[in-house]
Amino acid sequence: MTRTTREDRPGVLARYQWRVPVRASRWSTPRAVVVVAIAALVLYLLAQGSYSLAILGSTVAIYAIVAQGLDFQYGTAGQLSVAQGGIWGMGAYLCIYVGDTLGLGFWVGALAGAAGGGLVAVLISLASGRVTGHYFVILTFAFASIANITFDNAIGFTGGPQGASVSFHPSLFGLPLDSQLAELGLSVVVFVVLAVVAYLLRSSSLGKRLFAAQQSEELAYSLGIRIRRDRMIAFLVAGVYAGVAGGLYALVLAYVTPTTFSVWAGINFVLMTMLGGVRVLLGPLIGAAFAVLFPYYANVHPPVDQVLYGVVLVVIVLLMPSGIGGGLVLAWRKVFPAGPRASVTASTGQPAGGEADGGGPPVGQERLADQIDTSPDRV
Amino acid sequence: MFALQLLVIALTLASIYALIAVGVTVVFGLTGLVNFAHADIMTIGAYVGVLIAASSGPLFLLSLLAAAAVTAVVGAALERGLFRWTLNRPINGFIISLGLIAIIENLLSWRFGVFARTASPPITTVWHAGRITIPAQYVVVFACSVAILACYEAFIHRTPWGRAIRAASENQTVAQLMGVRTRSLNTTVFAIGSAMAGLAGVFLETVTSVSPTVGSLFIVKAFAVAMVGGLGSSRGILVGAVGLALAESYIPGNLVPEQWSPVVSFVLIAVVLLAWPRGIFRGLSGSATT
Repeated sequence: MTRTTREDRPGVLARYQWRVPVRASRWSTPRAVVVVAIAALVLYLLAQGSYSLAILGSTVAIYAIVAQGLDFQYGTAGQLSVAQGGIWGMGAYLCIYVGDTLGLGFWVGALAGAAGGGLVAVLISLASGRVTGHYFVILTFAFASIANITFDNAIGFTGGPQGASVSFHPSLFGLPLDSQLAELGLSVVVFVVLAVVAYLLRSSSLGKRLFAAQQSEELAYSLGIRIRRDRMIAFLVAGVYAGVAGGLYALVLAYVTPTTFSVWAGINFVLMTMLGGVRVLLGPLIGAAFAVLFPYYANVHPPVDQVLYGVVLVVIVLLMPSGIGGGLVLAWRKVFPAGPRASVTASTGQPAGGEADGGGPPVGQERLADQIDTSPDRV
Repeated sequence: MFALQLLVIALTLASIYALIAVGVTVVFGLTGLVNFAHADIMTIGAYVGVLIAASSGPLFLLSLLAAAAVTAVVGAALERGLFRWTLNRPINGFIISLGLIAIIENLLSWRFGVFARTASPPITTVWHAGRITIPAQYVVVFACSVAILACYEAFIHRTPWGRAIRAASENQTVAQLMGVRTRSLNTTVFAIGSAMAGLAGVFLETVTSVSPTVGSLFIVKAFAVAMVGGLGSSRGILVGAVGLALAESYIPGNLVPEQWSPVVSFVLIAVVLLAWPRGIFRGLSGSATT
C-alpha cells in the first residue's frame, strides 16, 4: 500500500504566513553566551520589584528551561513530545522526596530530579521503539496522563491531590538561598547555563545529525547515522532539562500539587516552544515569558483565558510558524543584513526563485542572496 | 454474578468507544491527521442531548438527530476552516487539535459550568436477569451503536462513496486521477465522523454524567481503540473497543486499585505501539528506517 508523501509541499497558507527560515546558527559561542546572558539579566532586573514579581521571574526562567529542552527535541530532533510536563512534575516530586523527605538537601534532590527525568526519557524512548511522528506524540500524551494519575494517587510519595510542601534551606558556597530574589538569581543562572549548553548541542555533530535525520530519514540512515540512538539522546537531554526545572520549581514555590503537572502543562510547553520560535536562540525564553505574563496581565476570567490560549496556539501554528522569535530574527536581519552566502541546493519547501506556486517569497526576503538558503527549515 | 454485570457495562462502553474511534480512524486514514479534539465533538453532542433533555422515545430520536446535525456541521466547519490548511504537515493539525481541546472544553464550561451533569434517560425500565440488573437504556445504546456501525460498514464497503474514501485513503494522488474529489471527501468524512461522535455523546449522557472535560479522557481511549485496530482501518475497531472496555472493567478493582483505571487505556496504547507499531490489523506511518 503506497502512501503519497504529504509532508513536503508548501501549504495553501504559505502566502499568508509570517514565516522566517531560521538558518542554522552561525554565531560563535561567545556571542551566543553574551546574548543569552543579556536577556537573562534583563529578566532578572525586571523581576526585582516585589515578591510576586520575583516568583514570576523565576517561573519564566523555569519554564524557559523546560521549553529549551523541548526545543532541542522538537526543533533539532524533530520529535514532538507533550511529555515534558509530566517529566517536569516528576523532577519536582523527586527533588522533594530526595531532598526533603529523605533529607538529603536541595542540591542532591535537584540532581535526583535531573537524573530521574533523564531516566524516564530514556525509558519512554526505549518503549517507543521504532515509533515516530504521530504515534510518538500519542505515546507521550499517554505517558503524561499516566504521570498525572500517578501524582494524584501515589500518596506516599507525592502527597496526593493535597500537594506537597517543602522546607529546603539550600545554600550555595555558604550563601543562603532562602530569599525569593536569591532563588530568582539561581533560576536565571541555571537557565543561562542550560541555554548555552543547548546551543552547543545544537551546533555539535549530534545536533547536525539529528537535523539531517529530520530532513530525510532514509538518507541519514544510509549515511550511517544511528537515528534511534541519537533521538534517544535528544529525549534524554529534554528529560534532564525538565527534571532540573522541576527541582527548581519545587524550591521556588515551596509547594506543588498534581494539577500543575497535567497533560496541559505538556501542551503548554509545546505552545511556548512554538510561540518563541523553534531553533531560535532566545525562543524558549520568549515563549515562556509570553506564557507566564500574558495570562497574568490580560486579566481575563477563567475559563475564557483558556479559550484565548487555545486560539493563540491555533493562530501561531497556522500563521506564525516561526513564532515571535522568528519575527525578531527577521527584524535583526533587517538591521544587520547578512552578506552573500554560498549557494547550495534550495531548501525543501522553499522555492528558490521567490515567486512560484504555493506562495510568494517569505516575508522580508527580497534579496537573491537571502533566497538561496543553505539550511532547510522545518518547523 | 458480578462479572456478568460488569460485562453489561463494558459492552455499553465499548459501543460508545467504537463510535468515537471510527471518526478518528477514518480521518487519519484519509488525511493523516491525528485529531485529538474529536472526543470534544462528542461532548458537544452530549450537551445537545442535555439541552433537549429527552424524557421519552420520540424526544430521544430528536436529540439524536439534533446532535448528529450539530456535530456534523461543527466537524465540517473545523475541516474547512482549520484542518484543511494543515494537510501538508499533519503534525501541525495535531497541535491545532490540542488548541481546539482548550477552546471547546472551556467554551462549554463557560456556558454550562464545570460540574458534571446527569440527565435522566428516556427509557427508565430496568430488567433483572437473576442477579444482574440491565437498564434498558444500556441495551438501547448498544443496539443503536451496533446498528450505526453496521450502516457505516455497509457505507464504506458497498457504496461508491465508500469506495472513494477507501481509495483516497490508500493513495490520494491516484484517487484524484480517477476522478475522486478528495477535497470535498475530506469534509464529508469529517462530517460523518463527527456526527457519529455526536451520537456517541447523546448515548453517553443518557447512561452517565458528562462534564466539559470528559473529552480529554475519552480521546485517549478512542485512540487506544483505533490503534489496536490499526489507524486507518475500521474493522479492527470492534475488537479494539470490546477489548479496551473489557480490560477497563475487569483489570482495575481486580488486579490494580480502582483509581488507576484510566491508566489501562494508556498502557494499552503503549503496549500496542511497542508490539505492533503498525496496529494489529493494519496500520500506517512510523518509519521503516528507524
